[in-house]
Amino acid sequence: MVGAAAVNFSISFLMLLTVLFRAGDIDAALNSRTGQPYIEILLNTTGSTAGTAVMVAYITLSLMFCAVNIATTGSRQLFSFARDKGLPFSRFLSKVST
Amino acid sequence: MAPTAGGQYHWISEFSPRGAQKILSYLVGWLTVFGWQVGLASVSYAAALQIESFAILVNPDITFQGWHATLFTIAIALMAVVFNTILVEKLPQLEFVVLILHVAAYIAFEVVLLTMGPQSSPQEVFEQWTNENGWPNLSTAVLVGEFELRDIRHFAMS
Repeated sequence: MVGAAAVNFSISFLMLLTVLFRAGDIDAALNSRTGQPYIEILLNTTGSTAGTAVMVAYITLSLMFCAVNIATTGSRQLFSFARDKGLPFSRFLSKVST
Repeated sequence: MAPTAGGQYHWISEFSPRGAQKILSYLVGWLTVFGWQVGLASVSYAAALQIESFAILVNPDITFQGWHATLFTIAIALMAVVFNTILVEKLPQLEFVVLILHVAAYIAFEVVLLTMGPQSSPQEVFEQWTNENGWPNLSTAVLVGEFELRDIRHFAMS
């Protein structure tokens, strides 16, 4: 578990440094017409709208799957706390149907 | 390690003094349960904003009203629920595909960012500090910025 956190931190830090080295004009990024500074950085780096669009599409998709995962974890957390009788309507919430 | 879906509130109970076990565990239980529920709303909203940004990127003339993001958010949260109920049997396969995609995309992003575009100097990266939002001092600005940093990590790592 600690190893997973360490690996996660390391590759996050690598990505952070990479983005910082490509950040370019910070003010331009903050005032991006897309509303997302990172998109301006990608535009500035790739110099191509089409290329940037592909990368943004991936990040959008990735966030959508992130929502799926959070729903998975959140529902189990809710179930678990209801099973331990911590919530109102615990009996209903902790019932597992097949 | 004991198998428990309870997570934090389980371990708080294990490690706190006998008298405080119940109340601490109960409080942390509510915090985590609420945290995950609200997390779904916030990540759905983040994804909704990406959809709008994508549209603006490909078509600069497009404008969005506030309620557009609301509808996108509801749609994405609904999709998340559908994948966890009706399509739950397909979930493991989906997770596997997304895992592969995720690792591949990380490498692709690194390669693109490392090989293309203008480079900032190490001075700019390591020595330049900005506090443009009017926080009284840099330390406060850094700590407040932590929240934003966690969002960025979400984008990069989630």
